[in-house]
Amino acid sequence: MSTDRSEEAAWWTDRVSGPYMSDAEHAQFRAWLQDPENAKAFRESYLVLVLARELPSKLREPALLARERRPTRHPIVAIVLGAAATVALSVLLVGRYLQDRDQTYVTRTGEVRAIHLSDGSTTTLDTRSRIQVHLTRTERRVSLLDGRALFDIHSDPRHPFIVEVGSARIRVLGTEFDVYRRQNKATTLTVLRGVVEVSGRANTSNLAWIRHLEAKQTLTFDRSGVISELHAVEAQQRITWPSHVFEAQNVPLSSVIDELSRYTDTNIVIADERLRGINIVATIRVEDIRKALHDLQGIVPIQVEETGRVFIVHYHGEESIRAIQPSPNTS
Amino acid sequence: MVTTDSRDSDLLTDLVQRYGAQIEGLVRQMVHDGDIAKHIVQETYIKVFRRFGRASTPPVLYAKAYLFDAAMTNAILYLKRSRSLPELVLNAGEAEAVPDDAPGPQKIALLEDALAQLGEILEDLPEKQRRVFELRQINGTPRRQIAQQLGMSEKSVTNLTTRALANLRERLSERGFDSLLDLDDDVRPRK
Repeated sequence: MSTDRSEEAAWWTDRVSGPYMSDAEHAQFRAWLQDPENAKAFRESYLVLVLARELPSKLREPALLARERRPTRHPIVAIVLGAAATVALSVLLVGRYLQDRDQTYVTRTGEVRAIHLSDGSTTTLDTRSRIQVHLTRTERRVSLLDGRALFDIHSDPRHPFIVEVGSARIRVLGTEFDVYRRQNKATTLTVLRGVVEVSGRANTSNLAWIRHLEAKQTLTFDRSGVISELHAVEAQQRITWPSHVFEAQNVPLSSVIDELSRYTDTNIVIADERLRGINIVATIRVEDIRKALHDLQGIVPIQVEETGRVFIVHYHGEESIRAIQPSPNTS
Repeated sequence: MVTTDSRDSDLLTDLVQRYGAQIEGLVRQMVHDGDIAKHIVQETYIKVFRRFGRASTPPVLYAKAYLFDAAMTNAILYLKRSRSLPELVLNAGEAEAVPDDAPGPQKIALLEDALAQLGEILEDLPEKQRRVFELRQINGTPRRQIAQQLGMSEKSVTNLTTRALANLRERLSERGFDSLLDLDDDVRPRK
């Protein structure tokens, strides 16, 4: 096997998985593919990629990248090095043990960002999210003000980690969990590892409700109390958003559009009521919503029109419905 | 859009729904035209549905590899012939005979073995290559994010991903998996 050809095939394989090619680049690609050996090498290289994507990746766990960079040195050294990434040097000069005091982190529309906290924990923020971090020598507390966050908490039994969501408090020792505070203020808590305790207060002092969640359990609540009791997380409810992926597992198109809308400032409008009843199974990348909608056109009977700052989703074709929902009568 | 009859396997319908966007994205990049890509992908689905519609349900891994490869083959065919789209759609079936039997057991086993070997080979790659490849191509982390978090340039991310993929393919070949292609090669003789 020619190493040069192999490298070229691998390069083009990586390239076609990236942003749309320019005309010049594509002309080059097309010319390269004219050689049957190159075309064969490309197909093989891409198939290796298809196979590799079947491998259970250690990195599918979204916060691992952050964990790999977690300092393992002496605590004091760790603080000094860790601080450089997150807070201003001036904070260090006053010599606080933990330095994320009342620091606010915000993500823009479409942005997904991992934040490494000075205690070794990591929180990944979804699009349009806002947290306030308060870490001191004696207390670890984060308020989720908007949006959604995945928390991977560094174990420290002496300092419980508290996440405040409105009037509710989530108390953990060392674990990983996802908190999704919707615009209607209903919040869904999903625990990936460990155990957490969540409690709500009717007012500032009275405890109204309390639940203990274990790994793979989820609970939805709002300021009035628990809306959906705790239950096991279905396998299909995997947390994929930190990788910019939305997995729709038999989800109504209207919910898919709601989800995609969170990642763009452009409004998405469903123009035809018939589309609301269609359920979708798809893996959608949310980094580029225009492209995501375009890709959706290939699997559901929609036509997306873009006018100004609105995407209008039209119904497109009756035969397509049969393709999505094959019925035994279709022949 | 694909219309299929009730004998078509649910697995294939599921695969199309699950990977449809990915396959169309791949073909769009290959032919550099959204509309032509749509037609090529539809033509591919019809061929693949016909191919397996008459046979027993193929294993997922095989069916997935088959779908991607069939789409790539059709895209390459289009690029090579430089034909107009209607001709491609009419003639796409000519290039490859469409067997009407179950996929060959050897090819299925080969793909499954290749996947197992690939796991080992990936583990043996130089640490940096493996980590960047997994993040970029398996986990889907954006290039820029990997560059920022691992403290390297985006060009280095591309180079490491490319090198890792080339290594995977070369080492797979060294272990006797010369060709993953021609997935119809060893189908049972036609009746």
